[in-house]
Order: sequence, then structure tokens, then C-alpha cells
Amino acid sequence: MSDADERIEELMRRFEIPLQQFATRIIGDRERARDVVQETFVKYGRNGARSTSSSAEPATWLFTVCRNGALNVCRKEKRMLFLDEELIQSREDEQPMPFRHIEQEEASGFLTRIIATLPPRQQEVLQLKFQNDLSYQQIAEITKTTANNVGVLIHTALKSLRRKYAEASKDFLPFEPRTT
Amino acid sequence: MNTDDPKLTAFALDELDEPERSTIARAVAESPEAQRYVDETRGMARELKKEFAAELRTESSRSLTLIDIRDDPWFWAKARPLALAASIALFAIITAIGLAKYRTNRDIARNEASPVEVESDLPLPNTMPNPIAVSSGKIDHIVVAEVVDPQPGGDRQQIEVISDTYRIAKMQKCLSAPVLLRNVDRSPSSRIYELVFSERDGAEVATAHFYRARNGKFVLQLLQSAKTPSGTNLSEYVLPFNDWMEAIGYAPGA
Repeated sequence: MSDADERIEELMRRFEIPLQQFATRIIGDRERARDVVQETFVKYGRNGARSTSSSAEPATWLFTVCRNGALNVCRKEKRMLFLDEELIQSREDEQPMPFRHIEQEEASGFLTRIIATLPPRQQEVLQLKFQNDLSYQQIAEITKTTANNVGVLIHTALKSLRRKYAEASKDFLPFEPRTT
Repeated sequence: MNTDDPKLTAFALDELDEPERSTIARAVAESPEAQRYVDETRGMARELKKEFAAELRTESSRSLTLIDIRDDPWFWAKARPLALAASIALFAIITAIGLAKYRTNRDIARNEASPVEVESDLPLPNTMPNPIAVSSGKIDHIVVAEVVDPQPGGDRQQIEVISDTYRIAKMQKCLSAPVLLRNVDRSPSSRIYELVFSERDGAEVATAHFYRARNGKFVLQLLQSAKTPSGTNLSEYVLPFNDWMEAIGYAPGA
């Protein structure tokens, strides 16, 4: 295998699962997300390897292409995700993302369930920041916005998480056995 | 200091450049409230990283759920025969339609084809979709044989049949890679093992050659089969097989 192949292999090992999760969060369907990830790596092999040079860039490239692919699936299949931000933001409290259903069924943790209640954009930037260690600038490139806006989204998301975490924690009152 | 400020969050997450970072650091040092906010934000960031890492682990182990299904006696007793029957019927219908269309198209193509075949000079892409990425989940057992005569249908000397859950799961993980990589060095080492991946009922999922490439790395090269999508030349591509020790336990020429 050539150096380029080894590089793709290394990228697959590192990013296949994170991309799979990222696409699933957008599409809400693991199988379709899997196709998108496959297509992303095919595109990387075709021209991404040539268009990226530094070690930080492949992550941005892969997530950008994966996101575009996932959004195309949403458009083609008329899934109501990310397509009309204003509409989504006005309806986000009443209509959860498909991923939220998956999370509700399979949530591994308390915090995951709270994250799933956040608006899609905030979930997206949190995942890119805290699961994939991407910088504000890289996230801005992927999500086609500004680094300042990413900062605002993350700040707002963390504030909401803190508040929701505190509220949800109140439901878990310590068990005090009756002694009489 | 106002703690409801995205700049303070960016500072806590080490996202500020100089001189802004120093300015905020001075302000934080003078404000216990801001210090508490920064500590809490960093704590929250650590928790989020742990939570997202747990999600990744869940996703990684998801491929094993097929094995859970495989071990479920209800599935094999009831669901599988029904699913098999339905699949065979569907396959027969699709094949009949496909064959009819293929014949029609072939006749048209024959009439329109140029007498001189032109070979494409375009370079091959570095990757191609892995045709067995999804069906690898169906693998139930693997027949490992040494290739004595590399010709198709040539002599093979069987080494073993692998059917234990652990090695099958490792093999499935390797075969579920989304893409195959361009095989620049197509000359295998002198010894080659042939791996035949089969479903529980013996239906073949794929066959691959397992060998050490010239660069010393082990690879799997899927062989063309009736199920290979038309226009696909698998001989130009390989799957890296770094986990051969866990998946098979031995390798040709290792």
C-alpha cells in the first residue's frame, strides 16, 4: 500500500465511527448515515487527499463532506432537519430530532438524554467540539458559519445544559428510609 | 465580571488567542465568580467528553449485536426460515427482471457499439466502496485454506474452519470498512491464504486472498464473484488487515 492508502486507513480508523454518529444525528437513520460515511471516504480517496495538506485539515474536510452528504439525504428524502433553520428553531421544542428518539431508547447516560433535548445546531457543535476535539474555527468551516457564532452556540448550549441538568437532578431525591 | 459571556466560555475552553486570552485571564483572576464559572465550564467539558466517548464505544460495539441475534434460538427457529424464503422469492423476481433488462440492453448495445474498444486512460481512484461492508454482518463461519495453485479453481489445502464468536466478530469488523484502498503494490508474498466467508446456511458472502504485501503489511483482497457489482475491478483494491492476529491468529509467511 502507498503512503496515501496508509493515510486513508488511519483516517478511517480515527473518523469512521465519529462520522457515523455525526451523520446519524443529522439523518436519524444509521443505515443511511453509513452510506453517507462510505461516500465521504470514497470522495476523500478521489480528491480529498489532494486538497488537504496539514494534519488538522482532513478532519474539517471529512466532517464538511459528511455533513453535506447527510443534508443532501435530508433534502432528497424531505427529512425536516437543518433545512429551514428558522422553521426548525420555532418547532424544535415540539418536534424532536430523529436522533432524539434513538437517544431516548438507547441513551447511555443522563447527560446524553439532556443533550438530546437541545436544539439541533447546539447538539451539532457540541458533538464536533467535545467528541472530536475540533476548534471553533474548524467547526465554523464545517457548519458554514463564523467562529464567533460557534462560540455563542457553545456558550448557549452549555448554559442550557447546566440549567437542565440542575432541573433534572431535582427529580432524583435521595432515598430516606422511614424509621417509624 | 459578567459570566454570561461567550468570551468567558471560549477562554475556559482554551479557544482564545493572544492578546484576548491575557485580558480575560486578568479579569478572571480578579473575580471569584468568573473563576467559579471557568472551573464549572471546564468540569462540564470533561463530563461531555466522557459522555461522547461513551457514545463512540456504544457505536463501536454495535456490530456485535448481529451476533446476539445469531445466538437467539427464536430467531433461528422462526424468523430466519421466513426471512430466507422471502429473500429467495424477492431475489428470484429481481433476477428475472434484471436478466430481461440486461438482455434487452445488451442487444441494443451490440447494435450501437463501436468495433474498436477504447480503454480508459483515467487514473483509478484511491478508494472504492466496499461491496461487502453491509453483508459482512451475515458471516457465520470462515474456511481458511492455503493456496497451492493460484489459478481460479486451483488446488487449495484447507487449514481450518473458524466459527467462534470472537474471531468472527473481529473479521466482521475488518470487512465492514466503508471503502477498499487502491492496491499500489499488487505483488503478494509467495504464500497466500484463501478465506471463504459464508453464512450459516453455507451461502457464500465473499472470498478473499490474505497475504503479506511487499511493504510487509497484511491485506485482504476480495475476489470477483457473481455478486460483485458490474464494472467493479476488485483486483485493484485491498482491505488493510491489521487485526489478522486477533481475527485469524496466523498469517501466510508471518
